[in-house]
Amino acid sequence: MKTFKFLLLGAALALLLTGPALGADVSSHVMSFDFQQINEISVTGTPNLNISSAVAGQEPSEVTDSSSTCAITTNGANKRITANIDTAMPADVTLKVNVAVPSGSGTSQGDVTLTTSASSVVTGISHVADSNPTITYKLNATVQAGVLSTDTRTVTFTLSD
Amino acid sequence: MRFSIRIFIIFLLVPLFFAAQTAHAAISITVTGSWVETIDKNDLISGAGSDLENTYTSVSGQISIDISGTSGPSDAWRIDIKKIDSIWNNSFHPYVMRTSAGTGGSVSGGASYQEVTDINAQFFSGSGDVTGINVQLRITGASIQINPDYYSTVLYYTVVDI
Repeated sequence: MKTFKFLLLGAALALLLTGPALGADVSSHVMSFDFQQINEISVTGTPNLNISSAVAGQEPSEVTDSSSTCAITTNGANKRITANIDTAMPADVTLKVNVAVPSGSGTSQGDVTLTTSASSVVTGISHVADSNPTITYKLNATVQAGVLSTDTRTVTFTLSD
Repeated sequence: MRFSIRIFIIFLLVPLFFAAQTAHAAISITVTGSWVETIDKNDLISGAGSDLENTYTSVSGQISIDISGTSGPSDAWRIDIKKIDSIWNNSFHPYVMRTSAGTGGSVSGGASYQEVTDINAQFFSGSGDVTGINVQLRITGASIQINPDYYSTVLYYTVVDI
């Protein structure tokens, strides 16, 4: 009879304790997010630079235009902005560009002379979204350039590795 | 006690032992669906110069849950939920919300967004067999500070017979 009570107690414990622990089931699903590389840049402004004066005895005075801005977003690291022009400048005329550092990320290369080859203007840009870095253009000419008619250049900015 | 009686009792109690277990073990949960969200330049708030949208939400019935194997309409159960990360970023906060009651049985709770963590927490409860309980998913914490990568976590739904 003692054995019977023991076995009955075991069955009761199985019913009360073991049962609820096994009364469960699990199923699952995956939740994924594909964060793709984002490297976006846009430029606003149509700067107008006109050299028209000089200090007597010196080369023509440099002119500056800071009316342009660029907007940059990248989720990458150590990116750079390069700039180039579509057509070479006339002889003895130099066009320079200076792009401000976006939101404190990166290093400005200062005044960079624009050519038809891409040149770095800001380097070391990481994880930034800034819609307002200023772009400053400077136009220089020597007296050897002579008198030139109005001309245009397209400046292309690229955000890349 | 005679040996034959002992054998008789053992044969009587062993089936009772297993019957007690199977009565509780029969409840089952089936989760159907998954959510893969691609986040790219089209998710910038206002193009170049702006950050990514912070929050992304799936469609209402992204996930469907079926509960079966209950002993009847009054057999109560609850759903617990947790996540186990694969590649993850601690800036992300995943949420779940029940958006329908499904068909059959009854369901209550879980009708507002609840964050899913690494620790099991009750999501909603109900009773009886129910099919087609819809769940909507949400994630917050996206920004351009997150490195480009394929992030993934697995959400585990546990049905507990109560």
